[in-house]
Amino acid sequence: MSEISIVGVSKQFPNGSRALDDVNLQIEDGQFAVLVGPSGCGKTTLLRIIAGLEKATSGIVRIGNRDVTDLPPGDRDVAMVFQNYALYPHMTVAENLRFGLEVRKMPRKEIEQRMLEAAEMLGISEYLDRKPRQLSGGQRQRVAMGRAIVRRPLAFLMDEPLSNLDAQLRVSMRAELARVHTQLPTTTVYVTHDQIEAMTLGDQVTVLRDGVLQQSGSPEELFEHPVNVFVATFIGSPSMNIVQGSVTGDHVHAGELSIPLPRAIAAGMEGRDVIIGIRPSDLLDGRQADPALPRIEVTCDVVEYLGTEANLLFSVNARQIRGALADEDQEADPNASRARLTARVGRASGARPGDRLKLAVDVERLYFFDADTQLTIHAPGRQAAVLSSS
Amino acid sequence: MRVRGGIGSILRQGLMLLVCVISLYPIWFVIQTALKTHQDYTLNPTGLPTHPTLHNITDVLFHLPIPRWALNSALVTLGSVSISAIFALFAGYAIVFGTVRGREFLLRVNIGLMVVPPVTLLVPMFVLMVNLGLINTLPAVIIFYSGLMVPFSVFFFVNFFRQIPGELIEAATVDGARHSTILRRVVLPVSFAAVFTLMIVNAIWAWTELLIALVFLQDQGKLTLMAGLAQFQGRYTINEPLVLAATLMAIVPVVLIYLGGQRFFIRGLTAGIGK
Amino acid sequence: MGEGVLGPPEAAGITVHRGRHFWRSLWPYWFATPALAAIGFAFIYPLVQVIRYSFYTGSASQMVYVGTQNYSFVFHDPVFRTSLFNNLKLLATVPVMTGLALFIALLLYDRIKGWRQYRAIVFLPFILPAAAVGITFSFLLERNGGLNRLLSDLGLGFLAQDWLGSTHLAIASIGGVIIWQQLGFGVVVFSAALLAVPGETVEAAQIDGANWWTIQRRVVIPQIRGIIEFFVTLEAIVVLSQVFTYVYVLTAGGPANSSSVLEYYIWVNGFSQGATGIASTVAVMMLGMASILIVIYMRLHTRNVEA
Repeated sequence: MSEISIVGVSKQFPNGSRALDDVNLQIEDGQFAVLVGPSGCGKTTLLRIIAGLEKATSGIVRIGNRDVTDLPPGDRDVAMVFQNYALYPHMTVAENLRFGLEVRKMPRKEIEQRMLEAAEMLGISEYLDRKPRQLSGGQRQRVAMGRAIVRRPLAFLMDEPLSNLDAQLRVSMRAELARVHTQLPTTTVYVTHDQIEAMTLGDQVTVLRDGVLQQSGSPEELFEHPVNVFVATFIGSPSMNIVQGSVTGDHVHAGELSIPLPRAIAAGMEGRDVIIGIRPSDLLDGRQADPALPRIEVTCDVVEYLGTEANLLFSVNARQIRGALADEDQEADPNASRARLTARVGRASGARPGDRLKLAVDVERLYFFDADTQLTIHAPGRQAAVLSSS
Repeated sequence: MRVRGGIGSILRQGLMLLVCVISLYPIWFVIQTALKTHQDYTLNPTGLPTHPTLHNITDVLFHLPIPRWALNSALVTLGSVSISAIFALFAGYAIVFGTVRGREFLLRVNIGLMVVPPVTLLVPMFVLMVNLGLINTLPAVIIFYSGLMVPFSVFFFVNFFRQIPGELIEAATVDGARHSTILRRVVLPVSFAAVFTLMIVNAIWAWTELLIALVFLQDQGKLTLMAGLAQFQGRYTINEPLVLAATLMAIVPVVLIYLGGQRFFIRGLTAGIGK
Repeated sequence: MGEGVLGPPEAAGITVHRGRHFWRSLWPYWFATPALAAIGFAFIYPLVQVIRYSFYTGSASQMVYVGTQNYSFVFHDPVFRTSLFNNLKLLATVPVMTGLALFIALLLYDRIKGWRQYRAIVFLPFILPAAAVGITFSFLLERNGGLNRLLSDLGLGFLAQDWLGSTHLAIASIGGVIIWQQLGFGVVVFSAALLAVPGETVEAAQIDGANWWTIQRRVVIPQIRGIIEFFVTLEAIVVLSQVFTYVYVLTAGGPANSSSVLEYYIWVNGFSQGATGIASTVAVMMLGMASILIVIYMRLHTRNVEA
């Protein structure tokens, strides 16, 4: 069994900055677990702590049922795939693949067999005699993976392995990874900053921010029931629209917008300042949506044409909250009164920049977050624990 | 890039030729004189030999301990260069890829040691060697030379290893290799050029060193080439061609090695300057 | 399922003690031990001892404590003073060799034809054994040796001197030989530094209309200032503490000790005359001087690194 347990792991640097703060995570045997978050969130640090390349300041790491917290990397029986591949430049592909096994003094025949199998699986059998510098980025990537596969370790640890590939290659390699995982269901911990990779590859996705674990669960869970504004805006593309507002009576007000709410939803949040969120795909084309849904009227600024769909960007007078992916340089001006929002519609809408749009708001799909803690108060389909208004 | 103007191209070439003549003439003088008879030299010190003869060279090679001295020099050079290189490889690897408390301090001290004049260490070292019964032996010289070479060698390797991506070592660590294995199978193969260069630079120093060899070695048979040469000069000052024939024997191997690999010398000495 | 290759050590019945990992995690220290031992042996031990010896007199086996008597003897010994001043006089060669090396490097920098070969030839003297060079020049600088002959052939016979045999010229002649040998090193070092100067800065100056000399002086040379300082410091150290071979072979300190240097003084006292105390005293003083240079060097070196 090779489940991985991370219990109370913290990492503090000598200068006082905290890379990880009391992270608790359980990864089941054979799961493909993804650690995702913006740069500096601690995901790579956590991976390296699992690998043994860095030591946690406190906490325990277990692999299989063994406490490996104090073990050196070589004794943990894990294999790592690095962002820059870290192939041994002076060795051929075959020698690169063999190295980890030779170090463990495996019999020659078995080494050869494993090496050929892995090469076969990854489609690199013709390159066995070449040196890394003679290979393309994608080929090097496969060799890096092959090196991990031959080891047949308890777990694969991958540090943004696809980041250095160009966009198209990345997409095809993603499929490769998924295929390999089906054939070899080894526990995998995968670090990325790209939430699309996270969502498509992961059985379990864990979002980190500034060293603190935000939420961990299946991709559906994170998408449907994010636990706070950060997760809600980090997962999903384009990002969820979020603005500041308040609930009075049976309406929710956000700047110039005023949207009637079903009584069931409005009741729990009467009189509160809230943060409201709605996914771009839940702002519908007003001409085709259910007439019972409330409409808002806005002016379209930009149309991003995507083929079968389009992103319509518009602004309203409302206070926007900074989401997870907001540009760090643009400090949210507390007095800013224009919110830039996005609606995702089908191409049939035929909207043009400058058009006056009527968008239907699918109120059942509104998210409500506490204005201070940014925790989710209400998510569609499920009532999150309603916090007492204090 | 060519900067036009200033010193014209012809003048430039002329100046460079002059510099080259000045650089090469003394060597030419040695060769030329070694081929003269004593009389020839007395009458004609600077011209071409009137009756060139090889018998100075044969005298020097067969009737004098030059080959013996050269062998001693070779042993001392090879021994000290190898030992210091191995010590420095391990230390350099540990400093760059391991965590050593007070690493920055050690590196600064190391740089400081590189400029300590060996002559200041000589008296106590001599006394120590006498007490150890090692005076007048080649191992004494090898040991002291090795120790003196370590600071520069460590400095050199630390600078070089810093350019190796740390991920390479991490990958090997995760693969389960121990550091001695990583040094041998991952770092060393990638560092051949640097190791070679360092050994050449150190070898030049060891081969040409005089003071320590003079002090440590007394027996005729044990002298290094430089020490032997210096004493030889003292004894035979009046027979210049003979002395220069001996000198020629000392110069030739170095020049040959230089011609074979001058790129390495130059690269070794300018390591890190271009950064 | 992902099973370990050999399984965890525990499964094979091997008990893993925490101790083993602890010792192994100290591997950097084990690796560094030989080098540290070598340094301790070759540097630390002698450094400590030489300071101790400077307060004693007599031969190594029978030492008598004499406090600072050695120091006062040395201060009053005219040969010591001469030696010290000679080393200081040799410092004058440093600006000369720096300037010449810089000039030659600048000539080569403009990539004149065959610059690589020129550089190789100019560098050759540097790798020759100092003893061999010294012996060669001891003949060339004789009263009727090559240099004087050349001068008289050029009609400059009045410039001919007894280069190594006159008390006021000996050390200067040694300086000349040192310059001859060290020049190549400077040329190579400066050439490397010049190659690292961004060509655009020179081109910008050209477009601004500056002439060759101005460009060198105000654009190129300032950008390699760090290397120049490095070279100057290095050569200063060489000239103060690594010239024994030249003196021994060219003049044996003479005539009448006029060309003695500190290293030679140490050698004569310590090994010709068995006065280990005196020799150690002078060694300690040299270390003092070297320390000052080390401090200067480190300030410059860290500045280089930060630059």
